Amino acid sequence: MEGVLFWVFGALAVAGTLVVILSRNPVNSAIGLLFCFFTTACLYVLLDAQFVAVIQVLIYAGAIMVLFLFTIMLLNLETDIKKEVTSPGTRILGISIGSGILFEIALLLWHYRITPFLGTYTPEKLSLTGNIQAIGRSIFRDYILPFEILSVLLIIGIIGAVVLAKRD
Amino acid sequence: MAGLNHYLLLSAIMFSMGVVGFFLRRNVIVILMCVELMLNASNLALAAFAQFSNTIDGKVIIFFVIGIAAAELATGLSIVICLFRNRETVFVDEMNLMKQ
Repeated sequence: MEGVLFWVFGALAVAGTLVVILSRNPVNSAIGLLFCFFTTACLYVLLDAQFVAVIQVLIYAGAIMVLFLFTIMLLNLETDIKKEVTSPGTRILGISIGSGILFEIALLLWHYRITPFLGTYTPEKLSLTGNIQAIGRSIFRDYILPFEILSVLLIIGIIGAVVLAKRD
Repeated sequence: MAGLNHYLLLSAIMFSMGVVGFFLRRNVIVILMCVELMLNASNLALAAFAQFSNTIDGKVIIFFVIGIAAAELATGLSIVICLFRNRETVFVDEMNLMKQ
């Protein structure tokens, strides 16, 4: 069952990504991005990362999509569909770089079976103590300095956004 | 049953599609969306590694990536608004004032 769900959600995520990069209208791209974030949240649930899935829906599909849609509607873009795509030279360059990256990773995965070093957080232990508890303990014990730095970074981001977008 | 390699391949597909979109589009808002797609794909790889190696660190690092993505996007979109106010365009190859 889990394997079937992986293929379904994987196909849907790739479809959402295709909508983002191929649709000529920025609003349709934003809706495709929203769809892609939702299916990624479903994949997180399959990976036993329920709290990450909730955060994904709240922050990515909620806050970040609101930012995108507000900006698109605030700018009142002219709907000149023909101007949305770059010149053929840049297009060929981009497609070759993208398929090159994909080819390299696929080659690596095909020839080299990754056997990770196994840690102590087995699924049984996580279901006993709870995913959120373990993540919270890890954030506030092992990752407390990056956490504080991230909060400073977010404040700087907010101040920067206000200063830049202010009409003077 | 989907293994680690399946998730990593899916993540690689989404990442490379983000790269292609980055080069394919001229609208700077859609280019920022493609950057978000790439970050999202790397998050998926982190979650897969965390799950299949019985660790929790990958799932914690996803929070930091999401926070950095939010900060980057707030600043980036306000720069876009600023540019649109001054230049009346959102297409990247028309933002070439520094070249002239």
